[in-house]
Amino acid sequence: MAFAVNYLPSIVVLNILRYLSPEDRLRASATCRTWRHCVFTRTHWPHKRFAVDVTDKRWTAVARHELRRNNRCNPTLDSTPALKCFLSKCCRFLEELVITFDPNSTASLRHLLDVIDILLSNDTNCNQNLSTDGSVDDNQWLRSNSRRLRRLTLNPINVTKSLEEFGSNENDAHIYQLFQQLVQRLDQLVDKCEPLEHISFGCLQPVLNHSNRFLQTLAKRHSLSLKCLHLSSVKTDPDNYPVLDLSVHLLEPFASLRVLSIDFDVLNDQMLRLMARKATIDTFVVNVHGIDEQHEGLSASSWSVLAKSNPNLKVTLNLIHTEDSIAVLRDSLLDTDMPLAHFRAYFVYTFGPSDDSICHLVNLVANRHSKTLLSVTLVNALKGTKTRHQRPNPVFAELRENPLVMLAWRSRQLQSLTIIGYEVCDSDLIAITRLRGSSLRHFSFPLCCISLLHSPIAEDEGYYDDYFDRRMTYFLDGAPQHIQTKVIEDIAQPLDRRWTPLTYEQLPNAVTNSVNSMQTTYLSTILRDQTICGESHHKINATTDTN
Amino acid sequence: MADNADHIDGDDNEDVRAQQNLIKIKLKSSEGGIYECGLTAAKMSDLVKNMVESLGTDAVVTTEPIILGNEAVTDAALKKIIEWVEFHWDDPPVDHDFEDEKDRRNEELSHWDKQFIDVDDQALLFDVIAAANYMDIKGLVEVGAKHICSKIRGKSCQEVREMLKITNDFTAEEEDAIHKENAWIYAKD
Repeated sequence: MAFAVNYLPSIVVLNILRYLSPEDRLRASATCRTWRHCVFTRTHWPHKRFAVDVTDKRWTAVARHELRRNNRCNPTLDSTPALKCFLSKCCRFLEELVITFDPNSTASLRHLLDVIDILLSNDTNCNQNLSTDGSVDDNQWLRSNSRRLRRLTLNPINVTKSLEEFGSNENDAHIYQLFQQLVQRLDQLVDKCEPLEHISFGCLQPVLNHSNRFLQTLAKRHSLSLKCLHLSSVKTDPDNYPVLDLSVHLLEPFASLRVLSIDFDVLNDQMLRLMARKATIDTFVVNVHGIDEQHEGLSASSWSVLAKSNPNLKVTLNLIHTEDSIAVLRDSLLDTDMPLAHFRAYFVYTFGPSDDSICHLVNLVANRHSKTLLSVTLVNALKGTKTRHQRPNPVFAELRENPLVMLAWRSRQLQSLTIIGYEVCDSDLIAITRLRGSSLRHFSFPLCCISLLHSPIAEDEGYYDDYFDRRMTYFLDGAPQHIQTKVIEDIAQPLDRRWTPLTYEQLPNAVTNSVNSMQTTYLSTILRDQTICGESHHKINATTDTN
Repeated sequence: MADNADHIDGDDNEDVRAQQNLIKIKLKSSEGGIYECGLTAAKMSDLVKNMVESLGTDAVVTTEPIILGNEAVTDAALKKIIEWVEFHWDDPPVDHDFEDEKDRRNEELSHWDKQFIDVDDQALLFDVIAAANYMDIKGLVEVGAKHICSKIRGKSCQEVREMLKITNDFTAEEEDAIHKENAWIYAKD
């Protein structure tokens, strides 16, 4: 009886393919239909995380990196059609999808819609084809392309306006339209796909304005499975934006929620009490933008109840351009029993040693949260416009006792410290690294912010006599090489590893020049928190901060 | 004999296995040929194992042949399969589910297995693999798959087709698209 190999049972072909290297496997799979079909099977693609990058300019770089690491794939230029084709074959065994895109480009948004359409459509490899009118039948999930999808993350490379802010020019009108479609497709996808564990809306205002709608749809099928829900946003204009009216009771059905990120604007006591009742949440991220006068504030007692009922809770606080009311920050957030693990303040403009200054915030953090604090990130812009003559903010250096040293002294668990745009003298930096030693695994500080005022090292080297008066600068980047080396060595020594300060070029764009790209400074850090799911969350969170 | 029946439900004890293999059962191919095989050896086939266990007593097992109805189980294929299980029945057990994929790929076949599977008649080879799959003998399917892999490795698509006599059922356009897709997936920098 003459069998041709085409007639070997698929399971045997699968077995044969399994013992081949990926290259041989693909080549062999090009012989006939049965074999080709067999190659796009779960077992041959062990990593079910797929990162698609559909931004206009950068997409190949990121896609290449992610694909090679995950699937040993390596797309060349302009492979968008191939990528889509590949995705449509792979997505039926895909468990995690991260889509990187540019929310301000119509082309990129169209690609994003295409990707979601692929997920929404039914498996073309199945013999029966369903009508596309979305009619539901009992076995539909078997053929759905998204049937194994558990984690979905939108990863925009920039922020975009909320729908209300769109102008009437042609480009804005297009983008407005595309976002409306996006909201609709996302809602369809959430409605259709199997129970999700993780969903992130990428901090995008035009999408998150529909949070109530998404929560309603999510509650239908994902209320028991959903572990990570990211509803926090990043604004284009932190001073002026429409405040979302989120209904607290919509969060009620989610019984397994472990990670929640949300804006301070929609947070209230009722929500904290709801979370305390659930007692499942271990990671809570709060983004604070401007503070609305209407905000009723949070009571210290709600935080106490929450901290008691969720003993493993870790809170991340992102202050973004927050400037109007430090009093609310103090009473609602910092001067409470919240178990603060990660404190980040981006471009929080407060000057002078008044009560409202950043020093006061840092002191509060150091005094109230030293037991739980794992990482601190403070980023501010340099003052001045002329390159290399810009100066850091002197608020910390002006005080007799530097609050940052206090922070390092009190926070015994501190693993990561990033201070950009604030002047700190060399002896204080040495004090910080000595206090925390090698347990401070991540320490970022720019060279141009290290002050040599009152520096014993500079004095020993006779720097003041020779240079100070003439150079008119007391920052380390202007000092001669041998002093730089000596100071850096002394700061690095207690860390027990090689350490160099950030160079001027390594600083985020918004720190050194334009204000336009401010959001990109922190968006990636905030979004990184939203792509990570589960246990690894804290670990990665503590080690990776602004680079 | 009655004693053995109590232990029939797979005991790892070597003596018991050896003793049980002295019991001969009959296997019937799809072409009607009946062949004898040691019980322990035959139970390397999960299909046979389940049948034997559901039948329960040796008395039935040793008198009535177990019918293997799949058309791949030809007389020749069944003889080969019995030869293989009779050689391998006392192998230490392998946990197929948890083996690392890479290790599996790299692990060489034993000399005996190489000699065994290297048959000139390709139709027989495929029958043996398909029949082993039907009878659920994981070890033998693996030997067959690895043998075919060793032939495929490093060969072009057309060479693979010629060697395994695979009919190309793609249209010209489809084939072109597939080669492009492969090139895209493994393109160099």
